[in-house]
Amino acid sequence: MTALHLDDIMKGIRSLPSLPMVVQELLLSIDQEDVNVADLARKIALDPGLTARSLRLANSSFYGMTNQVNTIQEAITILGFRTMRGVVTTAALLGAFSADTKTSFKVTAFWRHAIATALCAKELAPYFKLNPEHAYTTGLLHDVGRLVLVTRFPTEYEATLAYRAEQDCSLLDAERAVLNIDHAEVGKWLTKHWKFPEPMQLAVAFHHQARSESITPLGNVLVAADAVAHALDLSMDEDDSVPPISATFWRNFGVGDREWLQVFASVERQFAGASLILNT
Amino acid sequence: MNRERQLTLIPAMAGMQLARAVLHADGHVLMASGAALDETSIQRLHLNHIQTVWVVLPDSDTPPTDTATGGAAPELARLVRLFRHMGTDPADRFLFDLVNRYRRGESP
Repeated sequence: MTALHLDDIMKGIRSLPSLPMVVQELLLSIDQEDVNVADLARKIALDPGLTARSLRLANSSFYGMTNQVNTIQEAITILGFRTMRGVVTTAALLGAFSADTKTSFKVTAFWRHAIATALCAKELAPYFKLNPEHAYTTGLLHDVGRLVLVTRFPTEYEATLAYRAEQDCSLLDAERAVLNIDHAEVGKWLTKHWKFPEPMQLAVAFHHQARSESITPLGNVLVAADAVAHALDLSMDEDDSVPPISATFWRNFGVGDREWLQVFASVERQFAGASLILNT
Repeated sequence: MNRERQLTLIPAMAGMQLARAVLHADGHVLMASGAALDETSIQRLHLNHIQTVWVVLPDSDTPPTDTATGGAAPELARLVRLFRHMGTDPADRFLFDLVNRYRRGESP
């Protein structure tokens, strides 16, 4: 029997290394007018692992710096605080889970999809007067529940992957059938545990429930961004599939065909550069 | 040897070739194996409550020769595979159609 209970999930979440406190502060600062940048830079610098990962990212060719930066303060000066906030958050999320899952789960494909979803959510955010930074980060972590499942419950998740291969169903359906819980619900508990802003928690929780009455504008953007990222095939996973979403959802979404084509082109244009962070 | 795949009618596209005959519930042949789908025949299959068809998929190792799909057969086959869990309501193919237009080079 491979079904998981909420108690198992919560134990798994609590056994994860905690996300640096400063990341929570960075996320909360997105909506603040008055941010003490020097104080946040100092707090980031107090965490050597996070600092090293962030500087590796900042020095990657995606950010196009001509000279290498060696300190967080220097990176903020050159790239700007908003960009560095995204860099540090991305570095923290990428560093929170071990790359070696001891299963057939495709970690690189996972992150490629996460980055594609993040870019698409960022592009869609202005249509709904949402903060693009919020949308990007939510897109980046929308499937994070899957990393909890695969790293904390590798045997059970391997059974899920085998079920998916056998049935050729979606991974979401396989999770529900085998584990009796899905990654969106696990993601909800993890983002709550990490004290992420509530709109992010709700969007992660409902990103496969387009018809839910509880879905928020950010949640709607995430539903669409996730589907588009799958449809553009950016994960490069042979077994990938687009989640079925009703015509009603798309009709009510309020983005015209021309704008969609612009979003597709913009996401693909940015993707190659953005995914370079996986090589750092 | 051509590979074949069962598809719901929604991602089935005009220009695709049937790998197996399509039979009505009463047993008579609606379309023969090898026939090419077009918009009219897809509509007719819908009206006869046919939900799935078997189509020939191009071998991904073979350059496309099917001009009916605009020379984009591998891309279309990949798109069909990505959308294989789509529902059976024709209205639900919104995103499929949009990405297909984009892949065929339609500019914003």
